[in-house]
Amino acid sequence: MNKKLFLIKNIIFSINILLFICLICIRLCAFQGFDIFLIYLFLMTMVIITIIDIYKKNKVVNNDKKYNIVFIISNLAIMLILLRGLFDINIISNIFNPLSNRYADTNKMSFIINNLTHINMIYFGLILYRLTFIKNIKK
Amino acid sequence: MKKVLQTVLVTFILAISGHIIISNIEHIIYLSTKTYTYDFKNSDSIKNIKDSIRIIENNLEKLNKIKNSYLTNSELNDIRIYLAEKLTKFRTLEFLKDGYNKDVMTQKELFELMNPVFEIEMLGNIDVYRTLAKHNPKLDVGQFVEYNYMLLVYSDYISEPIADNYKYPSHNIHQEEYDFTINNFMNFTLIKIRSIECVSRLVLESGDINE
Repeated sequence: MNKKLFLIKNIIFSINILLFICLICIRLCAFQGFDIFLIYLFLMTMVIITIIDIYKKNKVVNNDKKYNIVFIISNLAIMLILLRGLFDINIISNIFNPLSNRYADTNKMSFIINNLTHINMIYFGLILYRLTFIKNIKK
Repeated sequence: MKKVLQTVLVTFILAISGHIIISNIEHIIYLSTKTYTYDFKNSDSIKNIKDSIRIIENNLEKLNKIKNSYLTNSELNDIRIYLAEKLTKFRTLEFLKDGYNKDVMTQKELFELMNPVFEIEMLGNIDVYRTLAKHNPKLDVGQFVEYNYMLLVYSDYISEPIADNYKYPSHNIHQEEYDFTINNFMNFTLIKIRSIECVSRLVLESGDINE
């Protein structure tokens, strides 16, 4: 059971990273701002922590049910935002750019920006949660 | 202490995740069920727009017959091409076709209806007006340019509800339905076509038809 949770957690996290890279590639998230800087920072920290946990086969962390479940639920919520930012047809954009003669994806970009704070808070909380294991590891 | 901290963090993360999931579901339902109503069959605006189209057609026919004008031949030809182009764009608008009877539409359908009207650019009108003003000192180009840019501002105002559709309904302060959007959109279309009609009349006055 724990192994399955651990596997699902890592798969969902890697899908989220891929979606985030897609968003950056199509320039929905490639703008300067404090929020996006924090996302890069927290996401990279989370990636490094997860890779270290997997590499070192840290049983205390990897087999912690609560941590895995919280990680899965929160990352599923983030995945929902990223998927809607990429594929939701109902978030219509109406700002017509006469120079490129097409409608800009400004509304989808605004949707992602609207949710950046939530994403930051979740990753910040997860990193804090992960830090509570440090004493266990030392023991 | 550690357990308390972990419980607090779990509650914090789950609360935010729950908020995200619920808000997104609410948002999806809100966007897919948001509808606009407009009576296309009995609308006076549509009748007025169709009348204007007819007037422009007549003016264009008269323009083709003009022999003497204070405009040069090339200027007159450019204006004819411009007017004919705008006329075909207005003719192809879906809601002006006979038998169009969609009274209730979703936001996406409204957007698809509005999209071609926004794409009809009016900056060509300024060029026509400038050409006329070269020969007629009574015409004020500055005022006309100002008027055209006000149209752009007005188009932004009309599309405001659609521009805000990225916000969660619970975050959005203006939750009431914008019933006036389609009315304003019809007015916008009418103003656009009226300005073309006005320009076509001015061009007609330059020739021998009205003499």
